[in-house]
Amino acid sequence: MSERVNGESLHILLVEDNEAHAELVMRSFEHHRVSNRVTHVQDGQAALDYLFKQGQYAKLELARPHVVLLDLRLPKVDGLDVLRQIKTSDDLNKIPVVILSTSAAEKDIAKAYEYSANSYVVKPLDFDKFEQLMDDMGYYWMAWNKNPWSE
Amino acid sequence: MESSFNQSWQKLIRRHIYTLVVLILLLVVISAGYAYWINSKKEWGETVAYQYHSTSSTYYLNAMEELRHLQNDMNHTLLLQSSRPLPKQIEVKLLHYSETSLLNLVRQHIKSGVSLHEKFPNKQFNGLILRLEQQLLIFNENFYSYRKTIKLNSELPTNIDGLLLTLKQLIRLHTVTREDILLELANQTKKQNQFFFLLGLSFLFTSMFIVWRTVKSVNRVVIENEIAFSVIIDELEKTKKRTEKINLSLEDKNSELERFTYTVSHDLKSPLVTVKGFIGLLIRDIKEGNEERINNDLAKIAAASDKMGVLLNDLLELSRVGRVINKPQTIRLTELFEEARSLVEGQMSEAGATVSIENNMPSIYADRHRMIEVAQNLLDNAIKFRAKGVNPIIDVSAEVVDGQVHCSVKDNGIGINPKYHNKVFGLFDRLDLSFDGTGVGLALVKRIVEVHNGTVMFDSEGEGLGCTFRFALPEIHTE
Repeated sequence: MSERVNGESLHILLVEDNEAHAELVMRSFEHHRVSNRVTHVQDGQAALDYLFKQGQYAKLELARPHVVLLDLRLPKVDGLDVLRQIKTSDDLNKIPVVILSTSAAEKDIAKAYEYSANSYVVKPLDFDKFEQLMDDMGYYWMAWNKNPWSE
Repeated sequence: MESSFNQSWQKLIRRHIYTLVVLILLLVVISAGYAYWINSKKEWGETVAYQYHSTSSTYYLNAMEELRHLQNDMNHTLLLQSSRPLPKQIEVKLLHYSETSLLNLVRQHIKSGVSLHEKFPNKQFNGLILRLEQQLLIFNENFYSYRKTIKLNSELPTNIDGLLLTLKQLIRLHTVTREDILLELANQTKKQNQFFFLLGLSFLFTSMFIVWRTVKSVNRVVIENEIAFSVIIDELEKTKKRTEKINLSLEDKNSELERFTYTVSHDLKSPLVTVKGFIGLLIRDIKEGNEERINNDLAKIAAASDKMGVLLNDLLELSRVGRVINKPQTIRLTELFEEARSLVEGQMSEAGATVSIENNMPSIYADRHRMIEVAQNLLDNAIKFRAKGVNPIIDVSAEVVDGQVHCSVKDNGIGINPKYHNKVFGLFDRLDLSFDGTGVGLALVKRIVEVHNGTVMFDSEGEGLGCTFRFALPEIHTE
């Protein structure tokens, strides 16, 4: 199941400032063999640098992620700001962005969709549910979701 | 102001329109009455002139008759034998006098001082002269202010015929004609016209003055009212502004509280997710007997729990600011920072930092305990965010700008990229995760300074270029 239906692995960009949370996400993916390609960045600026191929990532040969898992409260550049910049970029706006946050605040959800987030999920407190979410999400984006671009 | 002034004028005119109309009507009525009176006077003058003309004609004829009669009576030529010449000038002043004094007055007014009958003592002739004089006077008896000077071009003739002729001529001359009366009336009317013109003018001016005074006093009242109203309106506006300000600050407080609640719930939930997540992983790892992972899981759980503890402590501290208020006092900034420096000596020696504090910095009036927290946090911050391999050099200084003490803590640390400026003082906001911390320190500094009605700022040229944190509070003058 680590391969996409068409035989390709899913590349996820994980934007998460909390290292422990990042580890939880990655170990869940690992456990369910969802993906062997998770790129983890710790703040909003790094996420933008990665996607726009600038700053520390300017000279690297980088693969465009299939999906971005984006936390909202991030150092330097806020998650909503990262989302807005992705969705207003002609080049990047087709990349699905899933908000993965501890916040279930209506304001955050509304804002995220206003900025064209593709999905909004709240990190469950319960570990079993957390793992279930990661499994479902990985499977969904890997197996079911069709991306607008062909590789 | 000007438009309201115009409005007040309009109001005034509206209010006094009836008074104005009445005044104008009064003027019209008076003019009409005057015109009518003048007209009737003219008519009256015509009547008088006609009556006098006929009267004087009658008297003239009577006088002529008298002369003829006396001439026949005497029947002989009366020779005038006079040693003195007759007067050359006779002024006849005709005034409105009573009949009894008429003769005497005529005598007086014959300028030569010699009346005709004195001049000619002959009784008969005297009688004639007297009658003549009388006739002349009676002609003009009622015609007051009529004055005529008779100039005799030559001496009075000495023969009776010549004298009679001259007297005839005199009578004719002294007879008041219609033209004389009309001329005199016209003169009088002219004088009266002038008088009434002046009277009307003064009436006009008086009424204008009264109107002006009324308008002025009413206007003054209006203006006074306006001033009073504007004072009231000013007060209302001030109150409105105050209320708006209070509302605004309440809104500020409200949104701050909302932000705070949101942040707290979010950030406290985060370690909980970690703890529960790693407990789940731990159970699995125990089953699998992966010791390395078991240790890692336990460490993560412990770290998350610790973090939660620190967060709670910090939050408690933050919530005390503004809630627990110590009595404010005068604080010398130099002493304040010296005390704060002694509290961070551990960190200083660990980092090899030097903190220099300016002498004789100004004083502020604040909660001393809280201000020490501010100073300590700023110093702590400056030491913590040092550049790699560089000993921190920290300068504390202050200056007074517009009555505000601006206190600066300058470091040579990692600096702050200006584009993250709105994340510097935010609660739980951390710019660089490679440094420990909860993101409460600077939020606490901001909160304490703002509770004291101050402001916090920072500037940095950018990453790697050091940073200056500043707070501004009102200055206190000390002796």
